[in-house]
Amino acid sequence: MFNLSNLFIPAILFFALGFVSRLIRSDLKFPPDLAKALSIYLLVGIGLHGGMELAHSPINSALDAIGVALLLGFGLPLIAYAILIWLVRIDALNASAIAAHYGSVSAGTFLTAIAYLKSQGISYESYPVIMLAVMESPAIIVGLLLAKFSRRAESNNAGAAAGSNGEIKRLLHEAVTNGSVVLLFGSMLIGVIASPTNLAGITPFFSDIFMGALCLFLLEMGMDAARRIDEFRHVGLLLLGFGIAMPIIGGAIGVFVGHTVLALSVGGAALVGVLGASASYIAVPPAMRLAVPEANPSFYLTLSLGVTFPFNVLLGIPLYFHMAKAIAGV
Amino acid sequence: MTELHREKLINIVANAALESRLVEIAIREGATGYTVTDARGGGASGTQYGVFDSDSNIHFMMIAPDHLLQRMLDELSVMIRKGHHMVVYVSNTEVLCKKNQAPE
Repeated sequence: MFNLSNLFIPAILFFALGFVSRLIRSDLKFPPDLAKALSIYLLVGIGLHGGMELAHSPINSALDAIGVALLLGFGLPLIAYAILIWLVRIDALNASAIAAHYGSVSAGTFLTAIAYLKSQGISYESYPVIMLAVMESPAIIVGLLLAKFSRRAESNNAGAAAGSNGEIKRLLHEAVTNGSVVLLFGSMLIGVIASPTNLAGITPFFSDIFMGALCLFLLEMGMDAARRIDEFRHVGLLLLGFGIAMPIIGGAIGVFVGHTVLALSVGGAALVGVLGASASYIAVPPAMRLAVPEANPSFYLTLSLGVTFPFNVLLGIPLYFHMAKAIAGV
Repeated sequence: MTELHREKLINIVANAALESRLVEIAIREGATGYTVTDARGGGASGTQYGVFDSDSNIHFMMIAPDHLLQRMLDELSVMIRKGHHMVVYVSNTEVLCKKNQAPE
């Protein structure tokens, strides 16, 4: 049932290459900013494709997808927070910051999932792309609020902590206007508004070489994931376990919601599962640096980049796909 | 004769996400300018490889006359007390007088 050769798609293989290159202590290094540049390219690409597909989709289904995305975006970090506080037993501020990561999404994981589905010949709807864009921000807001309440609970001094109203408003503004969100929504809008003939001029740049760019991006991600292994001993076994358990939980919830509430196909439900399972590493970490400075960045970066991302890419994506098939009775 | 006058050089190594906050402090407390360079390194927050925004650092420098130094340090201390990871170090420096600049 589980065929290892399914993983032998270039995207995943390049991830593995990056990982191995660090393990053997190669001096392979990306030039500065290349990963950031590739991120921008990939986000614009997904947004454009998503927008072009959505241009011929019924608006009601799109709105349903947005509603579910908001539910997941606000709900998953709360679930993560609860698990972190009661089962993993870490302090509230670290829990808030980590939970924010797991409620948000990873475009890199999403794109790898698309590559996987394509290699299996599975079709998928375009609604998960809207959900990707919508789910970037709510978790940041939840993390911010959880941290604020935790601080207030710890000290009885309402205004003394890092939660003055001006600062909170500013953090909220930054949460919804962060670069990734603007790129995703903006490109989607462009994909919807611009005419297909005009878009035909730019689609080669965003289609033909897209998967190749993803491979380069994943090469860097593999290297970065391997670097984080050094931090594992600071993170501890329980938290590392959370880094694997939470994506499975989020993935299951995503698949269930995608199939049952949104009535998506197997491919579509699998993608919603991937959204639920993924943890952000681009938009949320800087937001948490500002919003929850007391939290240890080593925890959330190691978990998101060192544990959850590799887990999702190597084991999670096929797992959520099989969950989607199982729930559809296929 | 060209003159140098003595000022303080404030160096801050912080995560790139804090840049806008530091710029505001510089402007608010009257620094005449500031310079930012990208940096990477390691410390209590783990190693910052500079691959993503989240693990990129900046080296933020501003020059301030002695009488403004304390207020700037106070503001930076507030940030550190809130939990932001920053290293702030101050050194004496001598700055070339510009022709039109009135000595302090």
